[in-house]
Amino acid sequence: MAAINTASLTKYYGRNRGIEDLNLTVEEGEIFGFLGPNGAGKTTTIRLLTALLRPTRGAASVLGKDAWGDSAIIKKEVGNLPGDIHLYEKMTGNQFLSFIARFRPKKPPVLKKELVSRFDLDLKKRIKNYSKGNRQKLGIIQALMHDPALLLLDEPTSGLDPLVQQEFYHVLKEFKSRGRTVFLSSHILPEVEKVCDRVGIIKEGRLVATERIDELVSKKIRYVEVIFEGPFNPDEFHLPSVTSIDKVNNHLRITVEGEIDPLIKKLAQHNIKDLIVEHASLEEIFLKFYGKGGGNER
Amino acid sequence: MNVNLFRKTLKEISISWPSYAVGLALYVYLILSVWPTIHQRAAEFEKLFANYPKGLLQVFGGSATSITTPEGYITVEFFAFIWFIIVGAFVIAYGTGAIGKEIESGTIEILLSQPITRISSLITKSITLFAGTIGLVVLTTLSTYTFGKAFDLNLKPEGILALTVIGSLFFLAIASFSLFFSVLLGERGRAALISASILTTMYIITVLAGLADWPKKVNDISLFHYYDAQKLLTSGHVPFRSVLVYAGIIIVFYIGSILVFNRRDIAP
Repeated sequence: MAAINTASLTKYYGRNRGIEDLNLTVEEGEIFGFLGPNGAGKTTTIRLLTALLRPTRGAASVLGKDAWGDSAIIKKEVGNLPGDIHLYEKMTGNQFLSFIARFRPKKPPVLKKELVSRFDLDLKKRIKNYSKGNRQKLGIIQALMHDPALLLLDEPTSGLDPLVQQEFYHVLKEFKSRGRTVFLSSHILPEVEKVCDRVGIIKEGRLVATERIDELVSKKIRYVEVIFEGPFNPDEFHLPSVTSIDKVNNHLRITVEGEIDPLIKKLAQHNIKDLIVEHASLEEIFLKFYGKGGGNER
Repeated sequence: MNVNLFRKTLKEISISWPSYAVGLALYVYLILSVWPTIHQRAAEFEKLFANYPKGLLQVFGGSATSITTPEGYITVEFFAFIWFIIVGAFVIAYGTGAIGKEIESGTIEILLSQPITRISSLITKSITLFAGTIGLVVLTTLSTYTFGKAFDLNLKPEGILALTVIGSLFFLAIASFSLFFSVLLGERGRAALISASILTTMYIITVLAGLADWPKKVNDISLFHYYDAQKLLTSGHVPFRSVLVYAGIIIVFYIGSILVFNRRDIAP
């Protein structure tokens, strides 16, 4: 049984497009990354899956049940982290988690204590006094604490510092190891690469591709900026994965698509003063592989 | 009904409701404490009352004909105007806030991410609204009866009962359409403005209908047309037509709220 299945799922806000003809399957036990720029339709999709929005047409099933009609039953087994989360400001962190836990009397918050400790969150404070990062931690804990069969996470690492992000990735991998399914939306490619098995790419409301992460990695674009100590010949860096080389004084800006290892080995033969490697933005990858109009549907 | 949400909802009004209740009881006490003086100098006050402009009496006294009778006095001083403002403020504020605040602040997304149906969450929230409304009405009428005895303003128990029934239905009707507008618009501010405007317009229509003939044609649409505190207190009779109108409004707007909330998009 697929954990999530959508068939021609479409949502319009009046005349404005939310998503259009979304056909998507997320298998049980996988971590699925839902990747796209802001406004692409990621949040709309999650809100349709959680029955916060009603589809204009098409259908969605979650854990084998109708996402709209059976939403209250489905949510017993689902942990949802809304994007840009809004919490009850007057409650303390502990009051909030207890309030959420009481909605599932048959599924106690077995992971609460562990998650609070791992994310180092002070539950005695009132939520109104929490920083953005701590609000996000609390949102993550409320979604994960009852060890749900399916996690729906909308931009989960937004506002988290890098150390907490790493901890969060570990937690997600542990979920997967217990056979849980994770549906995670993001606009950050490296994040999706780190934790996901498969990725769906959404652009302008349409799913333009679903790929395995290892396939996406082979398409990865990096910009390598190198400052050399001594003389060098730019031509020697013309390798199969290098698509362009620009020379500025003693700098080289090299664009690499796919494997970076051959270039690193080549650079290692020189004295390097500085080296900067930047990932291409998601938008650049989209423009490169899926065209401006999203016409290269796969 | 969801017990967990009900507990939280009760906590939300744990300061405002008692504040309104104490305020109302104190106000009733103050008004009634003046009654012995009014009663002793009845002739003077009757003369003064008779000299008031008809429009002024209509605004603050409704159909009350005398302030020297117990029923007339408490109607003019409280049940024909001030009561609407105090209890109406609570009902509109909480009626528009029960679901409207959750939608407006975005917390509805977390609430509806839990295993609770939309209908259950709305019913749970509205139980507190309706219970809180009836509670304020009962508290006021009981305070009036009890404090009245202390100040020798004796009201008939059946009159108090009739006023409690009609008053409760009157404010529940306001609660229902306040809830409906907040669910429909997804925000408190505009819903409260519309609810308060409707109520004010109805009040003006009823006042004008007591002064001229032409507003009488539209007076049937006013909730105030079906409410006459002095008559209720005096007769102890619950008018069937009033019950029918208020119950109809409550049912229509409450079912409307459920239908709209059950189908609307929640997108903060």
